[in-house]
Amino acid sequence: MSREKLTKLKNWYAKESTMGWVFILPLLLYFIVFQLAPMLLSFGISFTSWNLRSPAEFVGFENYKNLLFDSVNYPDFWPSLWITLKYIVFSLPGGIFIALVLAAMLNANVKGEGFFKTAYYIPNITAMVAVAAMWIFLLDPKYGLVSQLFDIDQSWLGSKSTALPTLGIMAIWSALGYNVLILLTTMKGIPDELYESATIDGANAWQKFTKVTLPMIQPTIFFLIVTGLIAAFQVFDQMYLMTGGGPDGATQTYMLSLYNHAFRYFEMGTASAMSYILLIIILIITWVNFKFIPQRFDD
Amino acid sequence: MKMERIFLYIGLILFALVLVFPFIWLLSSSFKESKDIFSTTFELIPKKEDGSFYFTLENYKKAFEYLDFPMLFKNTLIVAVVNTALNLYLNGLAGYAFARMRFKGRDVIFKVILTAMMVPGTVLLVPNMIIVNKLGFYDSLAALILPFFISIYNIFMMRQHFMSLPRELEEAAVMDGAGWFKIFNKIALPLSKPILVVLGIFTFMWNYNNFLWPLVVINSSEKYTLALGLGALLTSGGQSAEKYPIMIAASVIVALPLIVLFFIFQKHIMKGITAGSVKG
Repeated sequence: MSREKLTKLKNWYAKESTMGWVFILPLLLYFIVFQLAPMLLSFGISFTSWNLRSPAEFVGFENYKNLLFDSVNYPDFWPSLWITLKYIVFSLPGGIFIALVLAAMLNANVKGEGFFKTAYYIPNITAMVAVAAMWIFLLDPKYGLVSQLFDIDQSWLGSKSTALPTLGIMAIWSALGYNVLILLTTMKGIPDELYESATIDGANAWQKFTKVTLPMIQPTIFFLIVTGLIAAFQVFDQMYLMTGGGPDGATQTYMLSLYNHAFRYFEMGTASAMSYILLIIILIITWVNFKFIPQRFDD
Repeated sequence: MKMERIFLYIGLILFALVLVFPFIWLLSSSFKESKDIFSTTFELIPKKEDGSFYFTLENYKKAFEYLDFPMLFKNTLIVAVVNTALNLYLNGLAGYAFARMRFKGRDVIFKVILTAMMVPGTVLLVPNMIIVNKLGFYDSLAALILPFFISIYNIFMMRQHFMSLPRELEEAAVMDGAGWFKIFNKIALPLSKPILVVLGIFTFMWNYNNFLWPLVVINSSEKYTLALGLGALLTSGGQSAEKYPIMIAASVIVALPLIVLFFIFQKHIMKGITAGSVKG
């Protein structure tokens, strides 16, 4: 490289300390206004009694205390958390299990793999609003396809015992394609040698699945569990659109309860405290994920 | 062995049906007369009493009367297109800076924003609403754009991508006297088309489908997006049976564009999903 070229390069790199900041300037502005400021703002508000009707007053930990311990005036906090957990039980394990089965099936040198992947993925790209509309129609107690299929008049969304499981199944349906795709890609990345040596050891198909495939895709399964948990804790659209939290509060998830506090009762202090409790829950999930996920599948 | 294969395909086809048939059923019902929508006999193709097939656009006509679709599409497209364009360029800039440029504080900032990525958007719902309000953007399309014109996740993806590019091309351009912006615009960005397509589609789809945030910051119906318009239909008694025909046609109108988009960009989308799952 000639001397002239070197100086040119040097000059160019000399400017990078300023230009670097110019390049990330939009990010910094965005980050301060729409990430940092809201974080601090809602932290502050969570210690006040602000409700858009009366002036905000500093109340210390009152909002947190009320939510956690005053089940008379804040009756929906623990039930909404409980309902969210139940929703997770209905939607997450089943969804990942079915996805695992389908991915394993697709991994068996299937003809038309592309077709199946596409078909499975369509619900995932559809707006939750459109999915909700579609399922309201499918689940109609009398004329819906589901009731006709099982030949019963059942108000799936209108009865307390079936509403939440039904929404859980809908969530499985909606997320299945994504889970299948992720699992299948990981499965395809497993080196063939592992299967070959298992064959030499005399392993049958089931043993190959449990001794080779499962251990190798275990990190991906954990990834799906963690992202699924985080998403499920924030579930809102379907409940708001399809049941409004009913019947009788049976589908009132945490986020719906938060929404009601903030935008129906305008209790910004309470809603902000709820936001922070949700944040803590999600941070715990993330932390557990980083800290405690075993590296190997031990049986 | 052969039996197993047959069961395998039956299982796969069964699930494909479970996942896709609702869409076909919705589409088919959208062309039915009300009395056939409210019928307990199963017909995939609308059929008259005399057994002949028909199809009607009546439901779509009603849906267009009930919802101002041209306006909803316009609002949705403005929000989604502007957000996608801003996202691609600005996330690209930041990703490039984090990948290529050395400046004081770079690594600290990168770590801070990556940590902040763990804070889910719904946690910021209330305070962001207050901020958008204070900035004077409540009930405007700007309120749907501003909180999303940058995506930290996309910045991370762009950074990964730029780190994988060879430096030689850029250094050659420096010899020709090009500045940082010129190099980014003329060399780095054009070399990023595949990832820009992937991130662009996902950003577009996300904005098209977004519901909770518009619900919070949009009040007047002239500012509604498609998702919000259909949502309003559902919550304002769309679940009562009389509104089924409108609801069915309207949800086809809302869902179809993205499904078409999905088929066009299928390869990119599939690649993007799996790339995104590689955990950073």
